[in-house]
This record gives sequence, C-alpha cells and structure tokens, in this order.
Amino acid sequence: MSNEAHRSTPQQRGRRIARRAAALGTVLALALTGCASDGGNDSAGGDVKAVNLGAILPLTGSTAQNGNNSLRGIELAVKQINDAGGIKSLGGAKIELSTADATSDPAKAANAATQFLSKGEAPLAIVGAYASGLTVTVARVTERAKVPLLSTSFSDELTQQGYEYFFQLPAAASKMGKAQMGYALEMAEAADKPLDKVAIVYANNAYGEAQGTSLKQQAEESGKEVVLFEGYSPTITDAGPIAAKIIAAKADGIFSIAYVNDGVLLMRALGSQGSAVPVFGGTGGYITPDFLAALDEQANGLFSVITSNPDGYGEIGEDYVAEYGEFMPQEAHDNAAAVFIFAQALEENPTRDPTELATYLHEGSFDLGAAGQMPGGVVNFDDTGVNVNAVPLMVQWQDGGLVGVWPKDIVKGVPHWTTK
Amino acid sequence: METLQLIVQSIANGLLIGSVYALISVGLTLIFGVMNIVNFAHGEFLMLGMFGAFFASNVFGIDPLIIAPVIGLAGFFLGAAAERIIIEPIIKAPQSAQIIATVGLGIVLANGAAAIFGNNFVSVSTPYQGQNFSILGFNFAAPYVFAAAYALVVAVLLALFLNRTEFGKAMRATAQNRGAAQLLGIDPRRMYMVAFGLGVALVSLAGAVILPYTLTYPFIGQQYVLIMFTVVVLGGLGSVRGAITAGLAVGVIQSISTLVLPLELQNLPVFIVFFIALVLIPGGVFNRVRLASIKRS
Repeated sequence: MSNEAHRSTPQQRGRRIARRAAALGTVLALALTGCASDGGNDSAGGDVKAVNLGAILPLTGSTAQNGNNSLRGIELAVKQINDAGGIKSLGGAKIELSTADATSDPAKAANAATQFLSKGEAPLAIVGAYASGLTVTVARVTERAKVPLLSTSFSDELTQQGYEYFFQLPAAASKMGKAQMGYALEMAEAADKPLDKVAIVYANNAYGEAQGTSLKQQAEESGKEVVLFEGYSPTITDAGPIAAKIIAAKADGIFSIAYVNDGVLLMRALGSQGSAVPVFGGTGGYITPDFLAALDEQANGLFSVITSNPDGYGEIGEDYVAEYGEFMPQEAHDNAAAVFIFAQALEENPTRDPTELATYLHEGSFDLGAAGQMPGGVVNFDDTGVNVNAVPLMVQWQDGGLVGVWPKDIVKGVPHWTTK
Repeated sequence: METLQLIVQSIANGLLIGSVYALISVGLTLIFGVMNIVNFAHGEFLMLGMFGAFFASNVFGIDPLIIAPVIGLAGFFLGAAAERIIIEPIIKAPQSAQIIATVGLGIVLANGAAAIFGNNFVSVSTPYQGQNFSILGFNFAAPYVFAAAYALVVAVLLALFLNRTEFGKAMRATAQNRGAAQLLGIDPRRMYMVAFGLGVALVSLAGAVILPYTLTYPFIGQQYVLIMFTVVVLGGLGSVRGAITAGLAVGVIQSISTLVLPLELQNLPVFIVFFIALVLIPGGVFNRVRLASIKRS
C-alpha cells in the first residue's frame, strides 16, 4: 500500500503529458521556423522566392487516370518553364508545384481545396480539377479565397456563377455538344451517308447532362429524329441493357458521353450485339490511352469531339511521349496550357498578388507553349472566364492514333466511314 | 411477337448477369453465415482476383477463364491469411471494431493496388470477346455465357461441398449454432479460417471469370458493393442458396426493368422488391422459409 503515495493522480499525469507536449511542440516549432528561414529569402544576392502553383486533381477513384494524365501535363509544363529560366520578370523565380488529391467525390474535392488553401502559404493560382462535378465544388472554395482557378473542365455552369477568379480553357459543354452533333451531321452529309435518326446516351453527371442536352437541341434544330435520349450511371458494371436499348431504337448514329469505364463497356456491348452504327463520343473516356488499350482495334473508326488537336501538339507532345511512353492525352495538353498561361501572365504582369493576377488573366492574350496550340492559336478570357477562342474539333481513332478530321479548315486528316 | 422476343431475350440476359451477381455475392454471405462478420473488403478481393487474372493473361498469355481456378486457390490462401492476421484478433470485439477492420482492409487493398499498379483501367483481350451464341434466334455474348457457366459449376460444387462433405457440414453446423458445434468437437477457429478463405476464393474466382467482359482498376470494388450487399441481404444473410437465388432475381429484375423504365432507374425495381421482401419477410426470403420449416419439424 505504500505505492499509493507515489502513484500519480490523473490530474498530475495529465499535467505532465501537457508539459511534455508543450516542450516538444516548442522544439518542433523552432526547428521548422529555422528550416523555413534557411530556404527562404536570404540577404541580397540569394535565391529568389519561388511562385507557388497548386494543382487539385482526382488522383484516386474512377477518374484517377484522367487526373493523373492532367498532372503529368502540368508537371511537364512546369519543368519546361523552370528549365528555361523560370519567370524572368520576377527575377527568375521558379514555379513550385504542390498537388492535392480531389478524389473522385465532389465533397471531398472541396475539402481538399480548403485544406490546400489553409496550410502554409496559399498558391498564387490553382489548376484543376478535371471533372466538372469536382471543379464546381472546388471553384466555390477558390472564389471565396480569391485565388485564380484555371480549369480544363467544361461544364457551362462554371462560367455562369459570376465568378471573377475562374478561367475555363476549353469550349463549354454546350458548345461541345453542339459541335459533336453538328460536325457529325456535316461529315455524314459530306460522305453522302446522312444521319436521320440519332441515339443519345450520356453519363448522368453535370458534364454528361449538359452536353447531352446540347446534343439533343442541336439534333432537333437540324431536323433529325432523336430516337433515344437516356442518361445512365457511369459506374455501371455492365452495359448490356444500354446497348440493347440503343440497338432496339434503330438509330443511324450513336452519340455517347462517357468516361473510360462506361465507354469501354458500352463499345464492347455494342460490338458483341453486332452493331455497326457509327459512334460519336463526347471526349471524356473516348480520347484516353486506356480506352485504346482496352478496345485495341475495336477503337478504330470511333469519332469523338475534342478540345484541342492532337495532331498539333508538336514539341510538347513529343516530349510527353519521350517522358511517359504514350501519346499525350487532351487533358494533359490542356492542363499544360493552363500552366503556360500562368507563366506568361506573370511574365507580362509580374505580381505575387492573386487578385492582380486574376485581373491580368482577364485582359491578356496567351499563346506561350501549349497555350498557343489551343484552337485559334491564342487564349483570351472574357469577364465570365470563358475562353472566347475555344472551338471544339472532331477526331477519329485511325490505326491506333487520334487524328483530327473536322472542320476541314483546322485539321489535317479526313474521316473514314466504315458503315454499310 | 417482337415484344415477346425482346422480353425473353431480356430475361435470358438477366439470368446470365444474375448468375455472375450470385457468384460474386455467395462468398460474402458464406463469411457472414459462419463468422457473423460482414466483410466490407469483399469488393476489393474481387478487384484482386481481376488483377490476378489480368497479369496472368498479360505476362503468361493464359486466358482468364483457364487461370480462374488458380486465382481462386490463391484467393483462398490470401483470405485465410487475412482472417488469421486481421479478423481473428477482433473476432470477439464489438461489431464496430469488426466493421472498421474490414473497411480498413478494403481501403488498404484498394489504395495499395493503386500505388503498385497505378490508377489505370486495365482489361484483357480474348478471342471470344466479340463472339456471340445464337440460339433459337436469341443472341448471347460469349464472355457472359462462359461466366454464367462457371457460376453454375461453382454453385454445384459449393452445394456438394456444403451438403456432402464432413467439412462442409461442420461449417454449416458452426453457422447454425457455434456453441453446439463446439461441443460436438468442431474447432470454430478452423471453420472461420476456411470460411473466410473460401469466401475470398469464390469472389476472386468470380473476378477472373468476369474480366473478359469488363474492365478493372484499383477502386472498382466500390462499384460492385451495392449489388453484392443487395443480393446478400435479399437472399438472407448467411444463406448460400438465398444468395444464388437473389442474384439471379436481381439480374432478371434489372434487365427487364430497362425495357420499360429509363436506364437510370434500372436499380429502382430491385430496391422496391428488396424493400417489400424485407418488410414482409424480415431476414430475407430464405430465412423465413427456413424458420418456417424448422417450426414445422
């Protein structure tokens, strides 16, 4: 029983732990501030402070491949800009990239964005978040934090919120849908095989619905009969029923908006049910390396609308192949373009203030690097963040590669028709 | 009569996909029946089976359907190891701990696979992917037919195991009444290990068998979880026969509903049936039948 005198009370133990924690915390804080001051601004003649660029992309979940492709494009662009001397008008400051995983869940994406912006120094700008559903929630966060968000996601609602800090590089979903239908009908006419009945199936999220509706509108305006118009969940594990419905509708042309998973399942199901009707995709899964790998030869002949011309990716396209061993997907290129725009904007209007950067992004014309390969050769953002020069194009898988096939004046290839 | 043809084709397709649903879910129900544990990582084991078959196909050129039994065997050992390492320590813990353990296992497996294999979608190319069987004017895609055939064979073998072998009967005894089984000399720990191993074996074999007609990527487990749990609960948690019947039923209901309803609602009739079944028949269809037959005897 003599132990009792020495046994500490819970309060004493608690205080002891608290003291130790405080001591440890102080030591850590000192160490970290020590580290920070070592690497940061030095006295005259030292390193210039880097500019922070953030990237929020889906690195896990069902759109992870597209997210990772986007990130690769961003990293390649950052590397090229830094190797060429960084932002010279800011004293040769290098771009420092930090990334956050938006996952494939919109709520988690917003969380990731909030955390990103609250730890340490906020980035000067952010690139992201590929998928429209994710970008919608991330944009709310970046707008509140007054940090410019450069995005390759094309949901229409993003530029309809009155945001001042949002910049959309590609054409909006409604424009993409219009082009997907419009170009398809034009190509069919030109090949003397006009489409009269069209079937439209789309992944039922923000992107799919917006583009799907626009497809329907364009079809009706062109006097075509929409024999099927249906959404489906992109996380399906079997596309048999969808393909059966499409075939039963007896369309001359199939218009699909899908990601990789549902796109491949749908194409396989159509193939195994014997469909030979031309298919026109709406970007998403249709233009990714995974799609090609999964379908192999069955991919040849498929059309898709796209935001930038893979034939015209030039040097950065080749660098991507050299670095990663596969062709540069559209999301990699367009996100790289966002980085070049960021760099050019800082170069022409040096600043470390996100609001000033946002103002200049609205005013300037950007054609550095990959930005110069966006349709129109230059990117200009209007007050709502829309890139006024963005114009979709139609590509087709030919011999395992994506070839631009329409409109004739901006592409080099020709469409192959394989229908009966 | 075109409508009749469409309906029959739809039912047939539903049975094909339903047999796959059954195969995927039967392991889950077996694990619950014997161990009273819900394996929330079941979808991830499916994913591992698919990846196993993918590598066998890519590296050795073996068709997934041929390598499937080997994948199943590997799954058995993996499941037994997982049971020993992760489940056994918490077998007597409160249910919240058990749930967290299997959920955590699922997260680790999915993210581990993503870290090792990358986040890409992968699939195999097989010669029969584009083929279909034409019987009496109805079309059946070959990969689905083979998957269904496999499911049928596995179901028969499982039934034989559970009903005709000593071990199988011992497992059913453990599921019915742990205490009594123990008194009769059956070692529950061994039963648990084998049950978990068998459950994982079944679902990884299923993964290999369905890979020819679908794609996989590390997080695909989440997409199958809904169907798995629906089938298992509809058939009665723990009832193998229930899972098989429910799987077929869900497949058919889904398939037929797309004839009249928009595609987005294809799961709605499933859930309506599910709801009705749970409300009217608590515990699932087969539990009620079983209870009734026990009462009678």
